[in-house]
Amino acid sequence: MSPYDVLRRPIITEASTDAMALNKYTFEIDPRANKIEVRKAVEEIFKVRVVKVNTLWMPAKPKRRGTSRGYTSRRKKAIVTLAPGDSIELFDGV
Amino acid sequence: MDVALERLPNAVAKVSVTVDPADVSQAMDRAFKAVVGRYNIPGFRRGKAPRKIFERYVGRGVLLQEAAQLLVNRHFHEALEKAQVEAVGEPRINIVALEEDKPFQFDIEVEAKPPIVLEPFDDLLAEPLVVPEATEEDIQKELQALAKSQAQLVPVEDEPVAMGDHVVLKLKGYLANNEDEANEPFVEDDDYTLEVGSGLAVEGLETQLIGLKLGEPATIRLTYPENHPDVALKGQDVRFEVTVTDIKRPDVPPLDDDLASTLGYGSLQELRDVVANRVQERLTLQARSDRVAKILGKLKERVSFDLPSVLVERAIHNQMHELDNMLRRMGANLEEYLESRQISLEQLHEEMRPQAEERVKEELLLEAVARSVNLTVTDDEIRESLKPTAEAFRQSVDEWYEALERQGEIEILRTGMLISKASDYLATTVRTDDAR
Repeated sequence: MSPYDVLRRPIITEASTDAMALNKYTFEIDPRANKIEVRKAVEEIFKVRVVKVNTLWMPAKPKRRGTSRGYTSRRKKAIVTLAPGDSIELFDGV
Repeated sequence: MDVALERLPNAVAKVSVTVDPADVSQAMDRAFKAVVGRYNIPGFRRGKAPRKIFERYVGRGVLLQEAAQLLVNRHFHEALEKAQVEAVGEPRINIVALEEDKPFQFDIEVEAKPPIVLEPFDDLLAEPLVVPEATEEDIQKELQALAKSQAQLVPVEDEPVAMGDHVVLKLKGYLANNEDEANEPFVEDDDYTLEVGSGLAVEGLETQLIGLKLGEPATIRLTYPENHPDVALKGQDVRFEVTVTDIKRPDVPPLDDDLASTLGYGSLQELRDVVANRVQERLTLQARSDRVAKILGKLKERVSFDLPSVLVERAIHNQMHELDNMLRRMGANLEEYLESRQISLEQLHEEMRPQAEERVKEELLLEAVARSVNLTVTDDEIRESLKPTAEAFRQSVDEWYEALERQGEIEILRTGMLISKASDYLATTVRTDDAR
């Protein structure tokens, strides 16, 4: 998988901006990618040193439109901690 | 903040203001805080998005606009004060340059009081204030008028109408150049009251009433004067059919102690003294206002300046108001007045313009006079002048002062008092050659 396929998009929310102050950057990643692949992708694309990667599943949400029920797809997120002094000039879309 | 002033024609002042970049970025920060809560940015609760994200999502223009607003509001009054412009109209604000980290420039264009600089005018004050002594004749006239105001009206039955009588007429007026039967009277009144010799009725009517007997029908022909305000009647020959239905003759009491006591004075001598004082006061006032008018007239010739049209309009508005009040007291209103003169409101407006312009000019000159001789009105003086009205409203002077200050009335009051002070100054100050 190419690094650009591993990282889908940055996640910019109130919580994620707060995390940035601690040098942690949040991405939505390919569901098949693992922590090691994410570390490699981030290091290659942004030319930074990664200290830690946490991944988690965003559960699917039930949605209903009229009588038809369904779910949104579940997604995988990664919170990447960078080495002190490194930063990513976010976020121009990956 | 830097300010440059340019005077444009028609009393418009153009003030160009430049604000430091530091102030601009500070204003941008405040603008961001004010604006951020207005936008919904996904991923953030309202008002919680950081500046960077906000600028990316909403754009910087919004911030700049808001910042400009803030800066203009903050620097507007300061700029006018610094440029020594007394604004009177609605300002137009023009933003010249606005960018972050660069000086912010904007222009204020506003009608302002013209800067009048008076040359020394001591020569105009050379002539002393001359107040004529009240003459015996003036005093007698005043006394007579007082006696007349106390006169009882006595009905007269077997004598014809004489000068000074109060009569009641049955009256119909026709246009004389249209004598057929269908001619409708232009005026018809069964109880037309009139004082013969008062000069209130159309010229000629009163004199022709003299000699008429009670209940005797008569025809009076006369021509309305050319300057009569009613367009339909001026210059017209008319015929009045009149019958005198009542004659009352005023019985003027003699000038004696009795009259004095009915008027609330101890003796005729006391009444006389009071009247003499009153006459003297009136003559003094007249002399003073004549002197002021004369000096102002000369000052007007010496300096020329543009009049702010806002002030002129305001003066016209005030005059209209006065006219309206006067008409209302007489039981008419502005619409009827316009109709009888066959002019529109706009025409009346224009008619008042020259007088209003003079009034504004005089006020501006008086303000300039006050400036040039360093007259000021202190807060204490204003408070003092507020006492009567404050009492009338059952408030303390301080409360009343604050209430007026909130409405911005204090400055108007101050200007008014300054103007009357300046006018007092012109009325009373005498500069002879020796004094200079």
